This record gives sequence, C-alpha cells and structure tokens, in this order.
Amino acid sequence: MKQQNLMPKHSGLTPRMLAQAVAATLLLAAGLPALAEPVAVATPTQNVMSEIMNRQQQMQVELSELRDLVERQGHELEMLKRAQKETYMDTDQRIRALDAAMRPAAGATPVSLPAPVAPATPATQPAIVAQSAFADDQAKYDQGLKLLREGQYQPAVKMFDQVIKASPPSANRPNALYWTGEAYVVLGDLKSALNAFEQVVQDSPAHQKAADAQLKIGYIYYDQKNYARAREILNKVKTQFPGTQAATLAEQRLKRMQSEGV
Amino acid sequence: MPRLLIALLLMLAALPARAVLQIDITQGTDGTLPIAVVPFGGSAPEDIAQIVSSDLARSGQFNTLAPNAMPERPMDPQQVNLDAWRAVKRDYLVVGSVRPDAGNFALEFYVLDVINGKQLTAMSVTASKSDLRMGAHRVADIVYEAITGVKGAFATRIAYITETGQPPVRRYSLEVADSDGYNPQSILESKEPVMSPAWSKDGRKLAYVSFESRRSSIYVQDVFSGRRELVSSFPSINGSPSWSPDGRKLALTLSKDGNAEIYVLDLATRQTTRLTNSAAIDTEASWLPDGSGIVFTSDRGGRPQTYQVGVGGGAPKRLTFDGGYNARPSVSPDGQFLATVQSCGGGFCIAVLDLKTGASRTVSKGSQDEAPSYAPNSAMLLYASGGGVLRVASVLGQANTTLSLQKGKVRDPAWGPFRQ
Repeated sequence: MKQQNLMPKHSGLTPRMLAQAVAATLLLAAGLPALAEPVAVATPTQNVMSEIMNRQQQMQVELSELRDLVERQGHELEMLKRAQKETYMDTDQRIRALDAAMRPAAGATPVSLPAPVAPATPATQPAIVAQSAFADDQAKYDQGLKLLREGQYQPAVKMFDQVIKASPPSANRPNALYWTGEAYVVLGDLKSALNAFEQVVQDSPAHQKAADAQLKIGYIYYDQKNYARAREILNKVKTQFPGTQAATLAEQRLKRMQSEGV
Repeated sequence: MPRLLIALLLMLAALPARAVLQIDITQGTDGTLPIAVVPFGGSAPEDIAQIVSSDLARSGQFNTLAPNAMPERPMDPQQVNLDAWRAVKRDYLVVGSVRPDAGNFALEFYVLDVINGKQLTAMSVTASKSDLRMGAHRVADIVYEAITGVKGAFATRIAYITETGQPPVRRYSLEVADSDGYNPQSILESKEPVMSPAWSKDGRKLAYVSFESRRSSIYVQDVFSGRRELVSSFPSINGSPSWSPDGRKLALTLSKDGNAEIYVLDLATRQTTRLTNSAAIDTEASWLPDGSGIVFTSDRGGRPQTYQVGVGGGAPKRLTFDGGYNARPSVSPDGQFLATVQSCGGGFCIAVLDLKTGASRTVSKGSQDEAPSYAPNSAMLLYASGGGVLRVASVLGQANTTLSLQKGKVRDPAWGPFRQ
C-alpha cells in the first residue's frame, strides 16, 4: 500500500493496470471452478499463519502510528522549550532593566529583586495573628525586603539577621540568608556574601533558593577570578538543579567563560 | 566595480521598499521593484531586452514595463529623460545596445537608478550568435545583482524528462535547456522510462535513473561529451540519485538488502554505505549543501514525511510536521529552507519550510505539483505541475510562471548550478 503511494513511478504499475490484472484473475477463477475449489478450503495451519500475518501487519501499522505520535510530541516539546526560553529571556531582560533603573550605582553583579508584587502580609491583620511568632517573623522578613528594595542594605541585613537567628528556626531563614547574601554583594563584602549563600546551600539544599544561592556562589568566584572554582560550582548548579532558571543561567555563564577563554 | 557596489549598498540601505519586499510576499505586485528594460539599440537575431525583462519578471521581485508603454527609447544614459520615467513610475531603468564584435555580439548596457538619477552599473557582455540568449541571461544576472545584491541565476541550465507519444511508440527523453526553457537539447532518448536527473555541483554531469535494461539502473553522463557510465545496477530498486557537494559520492535509494533504504555510493571505489535502516520505505535522498547530511522521505511514521540523517548514519530526525504528506525534499543552496511536495486541498503543492524558525508556507497553488528544485541562488523554485508542464515559483516574490517551448509531458525538473 505505502509503497505504491510513495513511488508510483518506480513500480511502473498504474492503479488501472492493477485493477485490470485483478479483474482478469477473477474471470479466470470463475471459469475454472475446479481449480478455485481447493483454495477455498483452508487448513488449520493456514488459518494460524494468516492470523499471524494479520497480527503482524496490524502491529506494523500501530508501530508507525506510535512513531508518528512520538515524533510529533517531541517536536511540540521542542517548540515549547524554545518558546519558554524566549519568554524567560524576555522577562529576565525586563527585570534587569528595572533593576538597573532602581539602582544605577549598584555593583557589577546584578541583584534580581523580587517583583513589587511579592507576597506581603497586610499591615492591618487581626491582633491575634499579629501576636503569633509566625506573623512577627513574616513582618520582619517583609521589612527586610522593603529595606533592600529601598537600597538600605545595612539596615536590611540587620533585619534579616533577626529572622536568621530566630528560635525556633523561621521558615523564612533560607530566604533571609539568600537576600543577606545579595545585600552583601551590593555592599562589596563578597566574603560575607559567600558565607550567607553557602549557609543556604548547606542548611537547606532542597529549598528553592538553594539553586539560586549556588549560582551566586559561582558568580562570586567568577568575580574573584577564581575560574576553576567558579566552573566547578556552575557545573554543580547544572547537574544538581536541572531545568531551573539557575541552571540555564549557569550554562550561559559557563559559555561566556569559554568564549572569554577563562 | 567595487566603488559602484559600495554606492549600491549605501543606496539600498536608504530604500525601505526592499524590506517590504522581503516580508510582504502575499500582495501581488505590491512591493516589487518597478523597472523598464528599453529595447536595445543596434540589430541582433534575438530581442535582448525582451529576454532580460522576462527573466526579471519571473523572479517575482520586479514588475516590468511593456515597450509600447515606454515614453522614449534611449540607447545610452545621455539620452535618458529621467522625469519621463518617473512619470511612468519606474524606479530602475536598463538601456543598452548590441554591437558586432569580431563575429560575436557585444551587449553594452547601463542600469540606472531613476529616483536618485544615478548610474548603478555599466557593463559589456560578449556572446557568439548561438550563445546570444545565454548572453542576455548574463545581462539579466548582472542587473538583478546590481539592484537586489543577490547573485542572479538566469544564465543557468535546467534538466528534465519529457514523455511523448502513446505506447508502443512512447519515447522518453532527458533534456537540457536554458533556465527559461529555451534551447532544449536531448542528451538521451529511450523507449523505457528515464527519471530523476540530478546535476553534479560543477554542472558537467547528470546522474539519472534509466529503465533501458527493463529494470532500474543509475547512469552518470557527461553533459558535453555525452559519454556515460553505469554506476549502480543492484538487484531490485536503483533510484533517486543525489550528488554530494564534493561530487565524489551519490546518495541513492537501493533495495538490494531487501527493503528500500538510503545508501551512499563512493564513485571512485564503488563501495556503498547504508545510511538508514527501517521497515518503512526510505527514498528521495537529497544532500545538505554543506555535505554534513542528507534529507530524505520516509513513511516510518505511517505517511511520507521528510527526515534528516548525518553522513555517518545514526537516528534520523524528522523535519516536517505541517501537512499529512511531505515528500521529495530539496534543501535550498543557502541551507536555510526546505522545499517539499505537500498534501494540500486534496492535491499536492510545493511548500517551503524555514529550517531556522520552523515556519512553513506553500508557494504553489497545486493541485498536482511535484519535484521542486531550487535555483542556485535559492530565490526561485522549479517544479513540474499537473499535466506535465514546468513552472517557476518565486520564493521571495509572488510570481509563478509556466516555462514555454515544451513538448509532451515534462517531469522531474532539476535546476543546474551556477555556470563556471
């Protein structure tokens, strides 16, 4: 079937010729009942054989249908990946532009602040909730973010420090540590920044900020021109956190390092 | 010339109309460049201006002016009244004359930018009497390149198969003609089918399939000397030859090992290497212009689609997803586009896929279009259309032209390389 579709010219047989041939065979068979008779009676073996043949043909068809499906889905995935990457690059670019506009005098490593719509506990909460340790902690964390956004890095670090040292440990500890690290980067205290980021990775390896912290550690080593260590860390980001934005950014930085020949 | 070219580039940069032309391809003659090719002065056995004008129109990137609509008939730039040409809305003007030159003809011509009143090119092309049409195509190439910045592909040749008569007196002929279908010459005649001609990259040889021994075999024939060589006659199918860019190998469809697969034949050693392995039919191989791989048709997914495989073999990658049928793939010489025969509206038309963006569009209306073949400058596509005529579709513009001077049914066109 398929063969005729694909290569009618190669066979040299037109459908009409085939039809004529079939018609001739039928006429011949009709004129010779004695010959046609034995063929009509199939033995059990023949039945099994033709059953197997049918099955095989059926499987071939199903197989090619499945292949078609897999190929199409692979193609769609690729298209989605491409679209997603483009969207991400676009968003990233916008955030960087915003960031640059907010802090024109910032250091070399850009800090991606959370967007202004970051979840914040409204100040007008009922008194009962406000008194709980949770709310108190959340308020301090939000205050720290607010200070950070306003460019008051030292006060922000102090505020985050309260969250970090809270007992029992705050759920916001990894986030507070991360932003402390970012604040130190801006302040130019790379050693303290490194310390903060490393605590995120060591204490909360499964936290969503762990990948970002690891990436920033890589960036810091890069800024310190410790390229071997930077490469090692960035590769870790790629293998430990595949599919994350951090992994994509790590990949980009690694490529940049390659093109810079470091 | 270099100074002229720089001036030309500067001028083009200032012309927004060109950008529109590239993008806005669906709007008839909008966005095409208005030009007039004035009948050449002097006398010649061919109407040079007419040939140049038809070439430019066929590219789909120009709209031309009939001689009876021209305000004047200048033969050189000094005689041109630019305002008269601006009045008939021409942006470009070609004027020239034919001069006898030691038994040959010298075609002297000028390309003028009417809007800015500048001369873009002044050139002379010499051609013998028998080569006069080709000389005119060279003029068209130079005009095309002066204005678009892209090398012209009019002074090239095409090959195709004609089928005449009814059995038992049916004849097949392998013909070579100019890119506009003129000067056809038969280089092989046979009572048995001949198909799939393929040009070597130097334009000297054609590989083709012949059934002259009652079964398929592949021959390589020198276009100039007529000498030919049998290169593949394995049992069962020998089909669809395609030359590697270096001219040393042919990709073929063979079924010597049971099923139709793609093989590469080394012409020097006659060794074959199998590239595909599938229970489905793999055929119609076509080399990527950089020689790194091959595109081919396979129905491994149930229906024919185009796949790509590296020259070292490996897992083929499917390239086409639009339309339920994409066969007879041809990659543009610049490597950017893939032309296929695609199912459309119950028939078949020619589709072009942008390999970078994945965007696809059809460039012919159907309904029985087949065998697309790219011009060497990637700007035009030659294909066979229902009933067996040859058509040229502009890839950048909208033009779609039927080539003239054909006898019988015409099939399997192949556009040859730039002439060296």
